[in-house]
Amino acid sequence: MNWFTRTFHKMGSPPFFYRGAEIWVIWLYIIGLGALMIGTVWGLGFTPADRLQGDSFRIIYLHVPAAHLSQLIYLAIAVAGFVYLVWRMKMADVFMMSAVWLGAWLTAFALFSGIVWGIPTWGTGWVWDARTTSVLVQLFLFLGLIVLRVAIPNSQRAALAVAVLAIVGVINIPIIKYSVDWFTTLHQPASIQIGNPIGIDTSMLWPLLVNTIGLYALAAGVILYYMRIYVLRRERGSEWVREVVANQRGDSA
Amino acid sequence: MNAFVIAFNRTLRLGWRHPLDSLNPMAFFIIVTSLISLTIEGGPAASENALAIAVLWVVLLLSTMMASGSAFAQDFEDGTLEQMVSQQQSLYATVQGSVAARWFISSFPLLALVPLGAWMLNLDLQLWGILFLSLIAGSVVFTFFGVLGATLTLGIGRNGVLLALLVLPLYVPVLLLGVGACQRYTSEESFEFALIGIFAIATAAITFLPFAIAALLRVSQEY
Amino acid sequence: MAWFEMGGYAAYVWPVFGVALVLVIGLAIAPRYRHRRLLDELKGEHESEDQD
Repeated sequence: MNWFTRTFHKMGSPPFFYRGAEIWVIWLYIIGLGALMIGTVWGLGFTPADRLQGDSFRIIYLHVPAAHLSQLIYLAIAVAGFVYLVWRMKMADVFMMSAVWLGAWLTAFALFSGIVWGIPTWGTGWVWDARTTSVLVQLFLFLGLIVLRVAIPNSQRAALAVAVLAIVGVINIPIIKYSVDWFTTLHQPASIQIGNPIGIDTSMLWPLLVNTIGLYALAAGVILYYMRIYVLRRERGSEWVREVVANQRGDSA
Repeated sequence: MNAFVIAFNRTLRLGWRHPLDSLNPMAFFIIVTSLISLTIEGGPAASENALAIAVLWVVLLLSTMMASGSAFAQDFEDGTLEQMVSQQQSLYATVQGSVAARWFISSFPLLALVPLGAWMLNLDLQLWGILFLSLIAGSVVFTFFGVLGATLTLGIGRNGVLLALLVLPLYVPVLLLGVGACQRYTSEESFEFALIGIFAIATAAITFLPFAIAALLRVSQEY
Repeated sequence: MAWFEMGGYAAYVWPVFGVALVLVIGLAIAPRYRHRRLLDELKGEHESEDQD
């Protein structure tokens, strides 16, 4: 426990964080990219085709991890917003800055892959049902967070505004999560339900697990990398940043 | 050059300098179309009732958004806000009071017009109750979220598109719940969870959002 | 090869995986450039300060 609290307090110190996080970024990148490669090759080449959807089901190996992770990133940003609001912890704001673009891209990809997948299986790319709509809403929430940060010139006021918007936007999460149970009447009947165990064999689930782990690790690495960058920018002018910049000369990271 | 060309060029140049003048109507067009299409069940074959419910909900949403978008703007400009923030009384209660008044001025009259709209759109009489009940909660939530959006963008220029971008994603889940409650009632399915859900959101908005709005107002005066 | 045809779904499967590839590479590399740009910027700042 002592070790944990000490590390926790050290992580709040910018120079310690900047130096200590580098090795984590490297390992998360290696694990993430490696797992993504294995999972994708496995999913594309070494699993049997789905009984009902044929080979189009393989899109699941990217669509589901991206959709799931984007939602988790949104929740994490909202939690960081709460932490910032209550304790004014600077690292929470740095996290919000670092994660928001990644979340937006992943949400956009989840929408794109869902549309492409929907064309052969549902017969239409877009259905205005509660689930697709709420994923679109999530994309706009991310865009709102990005635009709000840019639109407010003062950085402290911007951080507070972004935190509040992120927290209030959590209202959207239960809609995504339970839309399938709650809004059956709003759904245009899908020819094949996502997440329905029919036709999904356990051998098809392994690559999904591997890809999910890979994407999570890579995302953690990317966010941590951006956090290092924003810590450096926030602390510009301090002595340790001067040291970092001076030592960078040759290899220029 | 004849008068037509001169006038055309001049107006075009003016329009080019203020791109928001054409972006705003475009955004409005897209927003309204998508809101209506996501609330109508059954697509082109939708029943008259489903259409009426969707239209009334969307219209109430848009009018509330526009009405609450200017919240605190005048107070911000003429310095009243500075007094509000620095006075001894709780800012929480001040915010709650001013949002309540805003709801009373802008949403209450609209709710009074809902029966007229329902009658014009031929809504079945037995659906009026659920529609009215859900719209009461919906209008409270819309007002609070609208004021929140206005507070977020306070002092950074009147920008309808920015306000819509911030506020609409918050509105849509509420819209889905409200319309869902009405439509499930229509098709005699269990609608209680959706109705309770929207009232729960309204209660949460009344209780917690004034804290957030007060904090934003305070920070808008500090920096 | 039959594998590339994806049982007739090639037009749906490959674009998604292609976009994913570009996206993953882009997202993974972007912070590296951002980092380098910031370090250059800071170096310039420090050098101009040192001359004062």
